[in-house]
Amino acid sequence: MTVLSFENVNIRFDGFEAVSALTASVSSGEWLGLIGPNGAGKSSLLRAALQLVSYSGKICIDHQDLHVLNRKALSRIVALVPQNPICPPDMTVSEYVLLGRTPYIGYFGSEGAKDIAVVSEVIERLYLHDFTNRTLGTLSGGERQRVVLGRALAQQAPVLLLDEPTSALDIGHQQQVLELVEELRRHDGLTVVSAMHDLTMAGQFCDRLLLLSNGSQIALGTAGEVLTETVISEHYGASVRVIHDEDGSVIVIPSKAQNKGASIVT
Amino acid sequence: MTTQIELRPSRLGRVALGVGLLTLVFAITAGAALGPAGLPFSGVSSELANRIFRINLGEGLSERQAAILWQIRFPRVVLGALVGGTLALCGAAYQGVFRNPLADPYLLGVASGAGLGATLAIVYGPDSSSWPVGALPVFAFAGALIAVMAAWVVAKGAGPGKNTAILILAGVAVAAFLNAIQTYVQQRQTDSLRSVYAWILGRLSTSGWYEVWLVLPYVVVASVVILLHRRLLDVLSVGEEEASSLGVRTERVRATVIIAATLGTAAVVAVSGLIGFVGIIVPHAIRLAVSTSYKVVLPLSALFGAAFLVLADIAARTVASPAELPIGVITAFFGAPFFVVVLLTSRKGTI
Repeated sequence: MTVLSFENVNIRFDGFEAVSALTASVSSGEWLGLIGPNGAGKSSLLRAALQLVSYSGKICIDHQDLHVLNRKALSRIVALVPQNPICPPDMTVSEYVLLGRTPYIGYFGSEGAKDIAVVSEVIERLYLHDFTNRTLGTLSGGERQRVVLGRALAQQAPVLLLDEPTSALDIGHQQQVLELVEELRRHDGLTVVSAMHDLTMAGQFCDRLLLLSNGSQIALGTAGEVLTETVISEHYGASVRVIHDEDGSVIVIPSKAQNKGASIVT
Repeated sequence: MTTQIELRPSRLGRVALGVGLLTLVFAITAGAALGPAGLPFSGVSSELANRIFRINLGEGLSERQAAILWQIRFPRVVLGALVGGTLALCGAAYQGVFRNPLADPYLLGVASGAGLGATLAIVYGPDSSSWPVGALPVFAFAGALIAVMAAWVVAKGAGPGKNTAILILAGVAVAAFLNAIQTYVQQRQTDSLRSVYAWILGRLSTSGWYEVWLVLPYVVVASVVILLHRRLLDVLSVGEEEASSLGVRTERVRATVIIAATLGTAAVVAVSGLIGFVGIIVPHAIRLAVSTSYKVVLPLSALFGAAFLVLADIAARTVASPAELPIGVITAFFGAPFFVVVLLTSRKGTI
């Protein structure tokens, strides 16, 4: 069982509170979607889990405080797909995915047969076998996102954090990437936390949504509970219509503001 | 069926390794044979094969020729190889830790620190005839290390050491300050201007094997440490934060590599002066022509840097013979056009 929990997490940058008093937990195999307007604290929260920003409070996996783990141990249990990954244009796909094995290789060590086997399997599962010797600079946005996901999977971490994994992709590739994550989660029992902008897709793929606004937790629950017209208009300053489809999915449609009180929330 | 990914160095990498080794052997043999007292090429080859690999290729050189070879030519050639290999390797290492294509071994103030040290030694130098080591290399070495330490301390003081740009800026400030002092001292004592200037332009002059033994320990330690970090430098190429998320303690890696590269650079600068260009051109030529992976760039930089400087030194000794040109002039004069050719003919990107 892998449970990721945030206990009273506060993140401050130079006196500015990015996340305040956040308490939430994600159960094993669950997919939690972090939603909220730009600057709500979604990325900060994900980066705190990886100990990339300092915070107060506790972030635990299976009651193990992540703060006391060393980098290597941490990167074996939490993998991150960053929002804007740096992709060295001349690195090949297999070299890049192999970077995901870093947590398992000694300081001066080099990749062993196990690492190659894991990477080969990841490449196969992400349908990257035709790309292994292509360089990252020659890949399309969707292909590159799959490769970055591959690097995270090669870490074989039970918890996968995705920071707006689809923000640069067209609608088809957004779906493909999310379906891939869904498949991996079902197959490997991964616990997934993803920051997302597209509310409809967030509702479709995530088990629960956590709405953050100005660093505070506004709502936590299923898409039906969290995605309401009032909440979205209040926190995103957006004018939307929310439709509950008969299959249970929640569809959020932007509607053109009629200047009936919908204003920019600051 | 699963795809087996290929990890061994590419064929191109292996070809480049072979070409590099052949070039270095050729450069060393030519460097040993060419000079005011010409030694027969065949004699030099067989003498080298005989002494180094214990292969008897028949008649080598006369006793006098052998003395020239072993006491004058060969030490200089070996020193050139050590200096060139170290500068290129340290340049590649700096480019890796700073993720900056313009980084060279002199980035953090090594050049200005060593320059000031050397100028002080030349102008006000104590009589070092009773010292085990000459004052010039000691002052230059100390100056280089002090400069880099000053840049490091400034950057640490500026805030959490997360940002490599701050370290580079601190290096720029330290270098400018030390350069100002160096220029002042140099202008005050115009009678030593020529020898200060000659040092700044770089030269490989040897008294027997003395300089080689002086730099060898630093070169070996720096090279081993840097080469051992080749995989981690590849991980760093995805940036500080992502490398951290992959389990790398980036601060420690960066500090270790910078210390090793600085020690190696300071040591070779102390005996050779400021030879520019090698630390930038050689690693980039390899990135453009072969691969951008540090597993390839680092060893090949050392190899080609060594060969390049030995060849440059041959030119420095022979082009205006009997006068000797500063080797720094040669490295830029031949290196720059060569680099342009690589730039124009290569399909790969940089860094």
